[in-house]
Amino acid sequence: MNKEPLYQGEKIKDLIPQREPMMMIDSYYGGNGNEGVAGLTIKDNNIFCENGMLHEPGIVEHVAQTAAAFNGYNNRISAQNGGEPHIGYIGDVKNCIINRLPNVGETIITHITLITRVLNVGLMTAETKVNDEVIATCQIKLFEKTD
Amino acid sequence: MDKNELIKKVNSALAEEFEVEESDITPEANIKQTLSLDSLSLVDMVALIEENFGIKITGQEVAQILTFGALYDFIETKTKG
Amino acid sequence: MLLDNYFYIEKQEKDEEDFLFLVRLNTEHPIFNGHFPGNPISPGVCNIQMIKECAERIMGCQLTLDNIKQCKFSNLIIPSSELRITISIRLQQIEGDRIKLHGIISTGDIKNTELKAEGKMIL
Repeated sequence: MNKEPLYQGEKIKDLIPQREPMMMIDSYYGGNGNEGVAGLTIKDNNIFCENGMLHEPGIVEHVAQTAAAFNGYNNRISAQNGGEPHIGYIGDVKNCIINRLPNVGETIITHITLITRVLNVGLMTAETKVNDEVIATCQIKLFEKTD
Repeated sequence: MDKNELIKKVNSALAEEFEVEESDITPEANIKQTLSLDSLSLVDMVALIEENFGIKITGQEVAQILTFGALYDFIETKTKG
Repeated sequence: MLLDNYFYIEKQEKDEEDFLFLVRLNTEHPIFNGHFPGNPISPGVCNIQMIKECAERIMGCQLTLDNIKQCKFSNLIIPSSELRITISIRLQQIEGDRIKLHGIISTGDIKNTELKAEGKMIL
């Protein structure tokens, strides 16, 4: 993983199709081959924050958008389409264990690994950390709409 | 691995993951029907076979594998290569 | 979080073991501007959250779903004012403050989301 984000702020919109208030990553760090890393610093106006914490939907969406950014980044570098990021949907989520909800002000970093892809469905595993502490792990499938 | 071993390994892995009887998995049986696969669980099946046999299966390849017999042959060819 | 703002419960009833909620979405909610622009779709994570909030209403306390065993999004939910959504919930207390939750969101005969999870009650 790169120490400095390759994409952040408004540039994230080049990688994912979500827009405010549904943007759950604010930086993308790239990754090697089958891996991708994205981060989010949690703000108190986040739509999935309550009582100073980011709740389950925010965490899972952050993981899904890390996966979407991985697809978006790889599509861009392979210049398959170069244009707008594809819309994608979560197909399923499995074995998602949340050890704790992260607090406003903390930065969560998610590392995803592509396990396999069949046609337009990618299967990935994800690990979400605050510094060195693993706060969540899960497996996710993402549909990518390519037309 | 000989073919019988391969078949046994495939059947026991699939039966466990998709909660079907091993006896329902026959060479002529249709994979999608037998395992009740949709586009999402199909990916689970591919991941399981890839992991168990250390091979990669492309989307085009998987679209052509309809029966368990075809799957055994495919794995046999890939693992030899 | 989302109740009375993203979605509204119009009716709640109990059918043997299952609790049934008839709900409708607020098609004007800002989430639909961002997911996705010009192409509104109820985010899968909001579907999970709606199930959770219905379960919270049954339990009378907040829940944290710390173990989503499986959640399958078989069909998209596209918001419209006519859309009638049913959320069915089955809850089971396992031990202490832990619960098991099985929730299904459907629209007519179509199953949209099925969630199997465990969580803890925040008392």
